[in-house]
Amino acid sequence: MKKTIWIIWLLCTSSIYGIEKPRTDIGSFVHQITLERDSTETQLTQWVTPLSVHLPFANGAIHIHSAAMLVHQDAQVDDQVWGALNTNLSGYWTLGKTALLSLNTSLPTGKHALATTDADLVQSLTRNDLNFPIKTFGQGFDFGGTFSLVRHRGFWTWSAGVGYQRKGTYEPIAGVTDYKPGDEVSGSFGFDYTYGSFVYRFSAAGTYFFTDRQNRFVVFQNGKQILVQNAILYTGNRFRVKAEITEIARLKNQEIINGAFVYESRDSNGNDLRAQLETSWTPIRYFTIYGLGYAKHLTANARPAGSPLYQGDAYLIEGGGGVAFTVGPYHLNLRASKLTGKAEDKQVALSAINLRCSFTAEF
Amino acid sequence: MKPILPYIMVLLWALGCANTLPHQSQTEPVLAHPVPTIKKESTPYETAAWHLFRNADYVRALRLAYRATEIRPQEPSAALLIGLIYDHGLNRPDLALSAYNHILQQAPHYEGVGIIQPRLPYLFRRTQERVAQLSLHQSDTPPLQGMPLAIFPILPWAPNKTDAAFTLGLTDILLSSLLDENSSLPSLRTHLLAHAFLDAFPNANANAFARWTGAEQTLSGTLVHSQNHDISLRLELINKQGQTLQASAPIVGKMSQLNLFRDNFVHALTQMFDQTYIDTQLPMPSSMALTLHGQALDAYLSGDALHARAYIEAATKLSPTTKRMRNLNRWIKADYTGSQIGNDLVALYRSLKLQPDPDEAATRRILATQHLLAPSYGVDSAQETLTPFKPPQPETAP
Repeated sequence: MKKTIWIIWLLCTSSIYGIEKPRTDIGSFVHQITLERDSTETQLTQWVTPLSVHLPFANGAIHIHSAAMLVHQDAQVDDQVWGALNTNLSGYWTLGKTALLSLNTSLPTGKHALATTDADLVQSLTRNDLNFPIKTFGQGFDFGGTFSLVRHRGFWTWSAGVGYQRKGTYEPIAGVTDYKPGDEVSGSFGFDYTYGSFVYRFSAAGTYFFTDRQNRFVVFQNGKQILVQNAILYTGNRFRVKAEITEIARLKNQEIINGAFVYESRDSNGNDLRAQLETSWTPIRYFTIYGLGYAKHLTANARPAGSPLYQGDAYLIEGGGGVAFTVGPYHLNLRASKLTGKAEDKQVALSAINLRCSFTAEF
Repeated sequence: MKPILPYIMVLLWALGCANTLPHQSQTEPVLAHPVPTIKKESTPYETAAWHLFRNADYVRALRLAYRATEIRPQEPSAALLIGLIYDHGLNRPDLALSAYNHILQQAPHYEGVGIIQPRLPYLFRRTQERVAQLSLHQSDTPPLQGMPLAIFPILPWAPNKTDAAFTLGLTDILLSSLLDENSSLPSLRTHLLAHAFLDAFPNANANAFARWTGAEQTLSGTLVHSQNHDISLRLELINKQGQTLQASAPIVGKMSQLNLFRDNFVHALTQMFDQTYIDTQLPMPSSMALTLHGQALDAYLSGDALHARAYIEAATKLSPTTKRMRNLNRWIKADYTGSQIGNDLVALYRSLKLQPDPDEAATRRILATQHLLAPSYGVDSAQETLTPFKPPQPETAP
């Protein structure tokens, strides 16, 4: 413990130079989604108030963030659950000009051991078709790191990296003790081709999930995940654009069926395709207007309707924008967006709003 | 209701609280946390300078390019543009040479160094040519004032092109080493001065050249070439007032036996100077090789590197071991290469302007990779996480 305090003190008091300054972000955001099925409406609201601290130091930075979250369901039976989220501590260090090491840990300060009724509500957050920014109050004590290398020549910049996440045990639902999600190992490579103010970016990443265990017994394993991303970025003096397409493919999970640990007979993981467009314009140096567009399409998985793992065809379209102000070392961001879409094989109509306000102070 | 936004802006401006925050925009052009950011770089000046350069408005282009270097003195691309403006626009090889040399000194690892470097010998020759021309037409100060020795080409008694080339070759092979060893004056410079002088005054003699250059002594000579291929050379040492201080006895020889002639030549030189630096052991080129060498040198001094290259290659084939010939061959090749890459430099600049800053590109790329590998939480961005959440099995059990 003493050593940790000493290291943090050392990092904080390291000569801070370069372009970054220490800063603190506080704010709040709301993601409210309305599901309409056969004229019956269910409204789910996620209200999050994050707090983060960013401490740059020579050749790197440390970032700490946590938040409190309230989840509310407005339906025939109202329900709500609130609590703190896990605290995430991450840092990165550049090693020369060609390598970057990052370490991260998730401290289990979040609400855990949810009551069964709360778990039902929180489970809605995890749905991929509802686009909640925060999916969980947190899991166990996780830690991990990444190591990346980069090489630049002319118009081309190549990079590759590996990462590992060690997942800790926790109690997802009251009574379900000693649940340990599988560790994750990832690899990624990609390149940027920069031509003037334009960048074409290709990135690919693959993740292997080790087995989930409960009371040390293997119970589940998430399927391997492959992510491919293509993006075009434009950076002008005042105008910026980023257009990105991401394809996420997940292979079959493994589960215990009749005592045997085998691949699931019905694939739980549908295809996930996302497209994003972001623009920003800074007409004067203390004011930025930005806009965003987002679309997501999920294909149905092979689970039958009624199964907890069921996911029907779904799509979401989001549009919005915001403004950002800078006054000396203080920055204020205001953002609003609206989502519409369909879920569960187009049986459910979705509409949502996402509002965010954040304030940053530099020191 | 009056619009209040302009007043708020003026107030903020007056308070001096406008600021830029480049921290995240360094890595991603569009931000999870957008903050007002204007790309800070010399591009507005440099881009404008490039535009003016392309429209042949060189003076204004130069002014803006210098402004760009003031903003980012460590950035070599603006210095390259300055070099291009002097080189291609204003026809000032001396200043272009200085700008390119500045890049080589300040940024030896700059990507364009490989293309800039071959341009330098060409610009150096043109710079010396310009200095010679200026000395001839403008300067009140003698161009070689204070120099101990200058060389004026040995001239044939009865001028004809072949003998003129032969005597120029002879001058270069046998006398240039006197300059290189005895004075700080490079032989190329005195060759160019003499060439410019003879160009301006074709009938001038060595005495007039000696008066003009102002060097303490000028060495020259006259060659008589008889019909039976006997040659007779008389060396002269002239002071800066144009008076002949010494004249050697005729050095005689045959065109077919130049080795013997060389020995007599060296003997005469040692009588004129305390010592000479001509290596008597070196094989003497044939008269044909000397003539080709002279033709190559004359073409080179006239800026005709293409023909100079052809002549010197032929001469080197005839006499491959003559060091001076090999050196001239190297100069001419370098000059020819340098003269050919002018447009390459413009293309290089255009290409480099399109390339990203290496550090910025590397940082942007490596953070993109790190972003894919590290866990994402959605707390900071208030947007959905990059990859789908993996719920624990008890929540998802069928």
